[in-house]
Amino acid sequence: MKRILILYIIFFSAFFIINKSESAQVKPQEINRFKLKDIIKYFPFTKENSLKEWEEKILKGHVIYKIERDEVDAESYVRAESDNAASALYYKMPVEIEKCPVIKWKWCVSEFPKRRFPEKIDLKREEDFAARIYVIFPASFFPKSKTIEYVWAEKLPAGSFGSSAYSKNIKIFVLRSGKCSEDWQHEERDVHKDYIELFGKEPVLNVGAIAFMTDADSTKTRASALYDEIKIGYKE
Amino acid sequence: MRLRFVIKKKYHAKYLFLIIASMAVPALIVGSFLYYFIFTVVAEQLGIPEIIAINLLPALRKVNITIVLSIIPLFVLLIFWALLLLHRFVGPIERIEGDLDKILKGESVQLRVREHDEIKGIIEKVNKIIKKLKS
Repeated sequence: MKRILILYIIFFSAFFIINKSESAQVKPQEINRFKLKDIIKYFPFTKENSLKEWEEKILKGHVIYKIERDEVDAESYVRAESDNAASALYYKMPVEIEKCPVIKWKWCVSEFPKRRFPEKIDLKREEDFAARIYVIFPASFFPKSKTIEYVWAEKLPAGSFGSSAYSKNIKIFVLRSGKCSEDWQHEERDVHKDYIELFGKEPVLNVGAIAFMTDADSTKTRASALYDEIKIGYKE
Repeated sequence: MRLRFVIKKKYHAKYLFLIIASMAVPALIVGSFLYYFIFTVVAEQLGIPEIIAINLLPALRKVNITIVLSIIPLFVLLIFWALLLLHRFVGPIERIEGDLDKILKGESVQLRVREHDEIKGIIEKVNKIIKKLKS
């Protein structure tokens, strides 16, 4: 009887610990759920100079971001290639959070950074992701700024999220995991809803910028990804 | 140099406070503004939160530690400097008051003046007037 009781306690303790762990999981939102009534900005990346309006923000070295054109269907997109480098493309724009902004894009990872340790959201020494999209909420005092990072991980399960190793104000949300099975994966995120799920409270700051980055500087390896059709607007 | 820090209390506290406030308040306003402005501008330029966390937050921590460590010695220095200024301006006032009291009692004295007193010129002229009035 005592043994059963002990096993019972161990089982429920493990259940609560697992449920309370930071790498919680949320169900990925369905695609084509949101119609945009007001498009704030659309980046089709159709022109050679499409990346000129994006600012490069450098952490280490330069990631090569270039516009490529698919010869078969004449579709153009951004190819990002990192060789032991981390630099992001950043676009400043005011977006009112109260109006329920939605961000849409499509992406595909062609090469993941090679890790020596198991992939973790909050592992500083190998904090590399082949593809990530930032939604940044700047505060008047910068340490209070908040950020949502939608990432494409290699091993972490899709839907898992947690705080970055650098700050609790940076939430990393794994949208995709593993190899890019098809040509492109389409995403659309309700930023307001995601903010509440990730930070556990209503947002008070507006979106001030978006960015995307492919990095492989922490692992000192290579990573490569494709990005296209980034669109931000307000939900209908 | 004569350093007698306790002058007349009513002058002492008032002017000491005024001198410290006139030095500390502008320094605090300018310092706070620069602190906020520099870090905000740099953070805006860095943009990406990881870049800010790696490059700017350690610098912010160092600056904060430096401020905390230097604030007490700076305040002591400020008080010392305020007392020196106080002696140059308020010291003679106390002395003149004492000397004038003696003159009113009928004593024959001259107002004393020190080489570095700011109101040296005025005291010398008052001494000349007292001399003329006597003659």
